[in-house]
Order: sequence, then structure tokens, then C-alpha cells
Amino acid sequence: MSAEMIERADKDARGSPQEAVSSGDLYRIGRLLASTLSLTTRLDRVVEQAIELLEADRGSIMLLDDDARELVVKASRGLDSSREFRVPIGEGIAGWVAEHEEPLVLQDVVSDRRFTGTDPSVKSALAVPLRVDGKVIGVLNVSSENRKRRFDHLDLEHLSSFADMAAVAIENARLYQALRKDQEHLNKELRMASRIQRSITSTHVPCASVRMVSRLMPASAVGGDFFSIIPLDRDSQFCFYCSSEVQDRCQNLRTQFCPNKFGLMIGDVANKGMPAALIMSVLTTILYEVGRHHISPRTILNEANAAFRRFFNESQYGFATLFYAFYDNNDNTLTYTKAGHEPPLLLRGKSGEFEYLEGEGFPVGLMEDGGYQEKTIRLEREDRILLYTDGLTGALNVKGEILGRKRLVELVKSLVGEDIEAFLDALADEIMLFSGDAPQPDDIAVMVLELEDLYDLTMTVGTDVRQIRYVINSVLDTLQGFEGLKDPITLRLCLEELLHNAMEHGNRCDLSKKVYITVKAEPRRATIRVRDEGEGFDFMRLMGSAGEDTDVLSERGRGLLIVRNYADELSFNREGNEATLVFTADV
Amino acid sequence: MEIAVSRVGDMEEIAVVKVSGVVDSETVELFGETVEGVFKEDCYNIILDIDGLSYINTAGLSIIADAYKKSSQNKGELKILRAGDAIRELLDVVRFTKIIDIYEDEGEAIGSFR
Repeated sequence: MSAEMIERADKDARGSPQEAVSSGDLYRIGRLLASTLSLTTRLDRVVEQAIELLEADRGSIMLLDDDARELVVKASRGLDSSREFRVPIGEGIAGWVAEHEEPLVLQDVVSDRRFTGTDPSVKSALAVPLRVDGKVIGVLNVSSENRKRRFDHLDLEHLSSFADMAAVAIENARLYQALRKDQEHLNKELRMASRIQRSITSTHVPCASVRMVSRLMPASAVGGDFFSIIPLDRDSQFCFYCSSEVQDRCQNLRTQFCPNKFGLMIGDVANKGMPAALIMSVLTTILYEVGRHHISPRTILNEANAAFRRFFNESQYGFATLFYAFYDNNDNTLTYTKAGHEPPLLLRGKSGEFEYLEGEGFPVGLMEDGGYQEKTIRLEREDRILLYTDGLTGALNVKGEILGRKRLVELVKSLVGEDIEAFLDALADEIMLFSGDAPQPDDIAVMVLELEDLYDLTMTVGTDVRQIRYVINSVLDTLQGFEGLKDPITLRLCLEELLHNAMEHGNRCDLSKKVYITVKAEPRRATIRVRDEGEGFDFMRLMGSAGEDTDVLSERGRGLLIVRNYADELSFNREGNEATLVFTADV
Repeated sequence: MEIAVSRVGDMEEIAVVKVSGVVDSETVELFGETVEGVFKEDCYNIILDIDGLSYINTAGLSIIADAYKKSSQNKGELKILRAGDAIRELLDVVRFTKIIDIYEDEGEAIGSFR
């Protein structure tokens, strides 16, 4: 049928431009189409160029809607663009072209039975299929309103050549658009995953004597490195406060977690990106759950190992290295178990010496029996522990060299005088300096812990009430200019109360015993500790519960009333021989 | 700390204990003894003038509480005259202001005993 048409067109009068479409024309159009990746712009340009090339009056491009078996107008010139135009395959001129996958030239459109339009102004028309890899993706149409401009066989060839090029340009733009949509969707999910992963990590250290700073530098948005502080539940078996008969103590601290002990962990899932992040989420959940109940780090790792193997029994999910420890504020001990993890670096604050926290044990998930061991070390004031994942020692420079433990130790030694925040910043800077532009193969997680440094004031006095004034004046001198003290009377009252308690009830007026006072002054926080050498006594019981019903004139409870009213925080150590007062400045 | 006792009233039946400075671990004993000395003279109407008091510890507060109790038990009264802001706040914290009257004017304080 179409062959007949073309034949007829050939024999009839020629109204087409005499010059053939040159390769120069096609090159120019190709450049023009390539100048944008936007699908709609490309479609518009294809129609515009087709009209120009064929000296036509109208043009349209229709793309195949695979699901509905329809052609949909995506761009047009000279047509009513306000309505969406759809044609089922097989109907009308374009439908015929799409169905038969052949081009069509009509010199007299209205007389053709395939013409289903109602616009009598259309005289001659060309319709060619848009093909990619031999498959029709749409139809390109041009038409003329001028009786003198009748399309012929040559025009059809021109438009077909143009359509071949246009089809590729359109398909590329469509693929690019689809890819971008997928990418945006993926990025959105990754950002969300990254936020979720960060939320798993806790960096709040429940003990005032320990400071912690940390940093996570994932090689991608999410990763398998993790670290966290794990608050431990209050438990009367382990916590002095909770086992004490006066529950008021714990309530006074306003936390459900043990204030004297906490867990900490750092680990590395042997995988990268999203799979590692998923495994990490499961593993940290296991660790949180088994870790909360004050059992030992070794038991926790044994349980985590068993659980990991239950969840991920297929070896492809690999394993995770882990360092898990309990810190006990009462005696400054760190009890840890290591599961194939990089040994943390312990820097002794006083001597400047360093040691690795070594320990036996396989990575979690690797062996049925992890062979975990437990070790305990005692920390001194100003001691610092650097915990990290192997991404740190494995950091690459542009020459392909790794940072290594030796360089790390040198770096750490050179930064030892810095405050831990500055220490971590400087360490991160040095790593970046070392790496330069070299892409990093692995995530990096770093955690630095420090036992609080020396105090601004340390005093030791004998059990003698006449020393109290001297102590108070010294403390007031130390805290001169501290914004938290609106009136020195407040600090004075609290301090005097605690000193009296320490001497009378702690040391039981034993003149051979001493009272230790420490003051730490920070910009917005002053911490004062009073410790005696007694066997410990129950402050709360001694000072009484100072409820509304207490007799105003009774001495019982008045001291506590004052301290509670004036100090921002009041806490006691496990032995009951050390009280800590905190004053904070209003922001 | 500076402390002085004087008598006021038509029959000098009211003792004014004027205490200033710091009542702390070193001075609280003298503060207690002075108040006790007033009771020993069988005087239970006390005006505690704390105008110049800059600090008082809990032991000092206990002395005030005990004195209030003792004077009440002996058909007398203890009143406080002129408390500075910080001391006033402290008296509020330990809830003394709920039971002990504080006066700003000495004449008014004296008059309150009638």
C-alpha cells in the first residue's frame, strides 16, 4: 500500500526543495541536539529542525506508550498544543506508520482513507518511524498546508535520515532522564540511611570524669565502621547507688542509667557501603541489648558472636572486628575484650609512654569459639585512649603507601600536649594531609577518651573545722570571675555543708584523717569535689529527706535543702566518701 | 563577725542582738553563746538585727531556729530585722520566712511585741 503511495508521489509533480539534505545539515542538527540533555528540549528541537528541513508548516513528534499501545504527542509546532493528543496504534496516518514500521508520504492527505483528522487545511504529509535498535519508539510527522508544497519520495528519504539521528538523540535523553531519576531516588535513600546510621551512635559519656571525642569518616555515605558509648542499666547487683537503701540518691541523679559505669565499643564490619551498614545496624543492636545488663565484655562478645552467626549464617556476610570495654568510674578501670580489632593506643598522661591494648580473639562471626579474653587496666588522670578502625592505619597517600601504626604513633606523640578536641582535629587534619587526593579505600572511625586532667585547685586539709574558712576562701579565689556564682554565699553554704559532713560524719572527727578538695573551673561549669577518708556514709539519710512536710525548725534536712537549692548538681561516689558539687553558668 | 546586744522597749523587755559580718565555722560559736546569754537573763523577746550580715552557715541557721523555738516556748518571740537580699533568699530557701517575721523598721519590730 505504502509502496504504491510512494510510487505515485514520485510520478507526480515535485514541489520539494531541489537541494538534497547535505551531510553538513545533519552534522549541524546533530550538534544542536547534543547541546542539551533535556528530553523536552530535544523533542522540541527535533520538530523545529524537521519543519525547517522539509519546509513544512506543521510538525509533531509522537512517542510510543508501550503500556497503552498508543502514540502520544510529545512535541508539536502549528498544532493545538492545549489538548493531549493520543492515537492508538494502527489508527490514522501516524498509527499506520507505527504499526507497519514503514515511512509514509501522502500528497493529498484528505483523500487518503488513513486520514482521520478533521482539519481540511492539511494538504500533504510525511510520517516516518523513529527507530532505535530496529525497534520503533515513535513517529515523526510533518505536513504542509500549501497545495504547492507536496512531499515526495526524496523528502521522505531526507526525513528518514533525520529521524534515524533524532531517534538516537531522543532515546539517549530518555535514558539519561531515567538514570537521573534513579540516581536521585538512590541518593535520597542513602542520605536517609546515613542519618539513621548516625543516630545509632551515642557519644554521651555518663561519667563526669571521662571526656570523649569522636569522628566518623565513611568512604561512602554509609559504612560498616561504628562506635558508641553504651549506657548501662542501673542494677543493684553492680551499682552501689541502686543497692543502697535510699533510692532517693538515684532519683536525685535523674537518670535511669548507671552513673558510675558505662560500656564503649568500636568496630568494623568487613564490607563496605550499604551491605556493611545493614550488618552494622544488626550487630550494634545485638551489642546494645546484650551489653546493657552489666555482664562482662567477654560474655558480651561471646553472645554477640553467637548471635551474629545465627543471623548471618552464610559466610558471604563475613565478620566484624570489635573492641568492647566497660569503664568503671569508681576505680578508673577499663575492662576490655578485643575481637580481631586494631589495638587501641593508650597514652599515659604522666609518663608520656604509650602501649597497645592487645588481646586475643577472632573477629565476631568468624569462628564458633571466638577465643575471647578479658583484660583490665587501671587508668590514671590525663591518660588518653585512642580507639580507631583500620581505615586510619590503612589510609593511603598518593604514592600508594599506607599510614601504618608507626606513623600513627609518631603523629599521636607529636600531638599529645593538645586538649583532646584539638588533638582529634589535628589528627584528622594530618590524616587528610597524608592522604592528599588519594581516594580512601576504607571508612575511618576514631574515638579519643581521656580521664579528666588535673584540677585547678587541689587541697588536702586535716579534720579541723577551723580549716573550713581557709578552704572556702581558696575555692572562691580559684573561681573568681566565674559567671555561675551570682553570689559567693551560695557556693560558700554548699561547700561548708559538705566540708562539715566530711569532717564530722565521714572522718568522724578523727584528727589523723584528711579531707581532699578538688576544683575544676571551666568557662561555664565549676566542679567541686570533697572526699574524706571515712568508710563512707549515707549523705542522703544523714541530711534527711527535705520534703515540704519537714519541720522548718528541725536541723535535719536543712543542709540538703540548701545544697539542692543552690548547686546545679550534687552527686556522690559509690563508697559514699566523695561528694561532687557542680555549678553552671546560665547561658 | 561583730555582735552586740542591747535592750529596748518600755521596760527593756526586748533584746536586740545585732550581728554583722560572717557567721561561719569560726564565729558561729560566739553567735550561739551570745543568743544563749540573752536567754540566761530570762529574756525571750529577741530582735535579731542582721542588717550587716553577709553570710551565715547552717550551724548559724540552726541557732536562729533553736532560738525561735526557745523563745516561743517561753511565751516570747523572735523577730528578724533587716535582712539583705542574699540572706533573705537563704531564709526563704530554708523556709524560715514562713514562720519568722522580718521587719525593715526597728520601731515597727519593737511595736510588734505589744
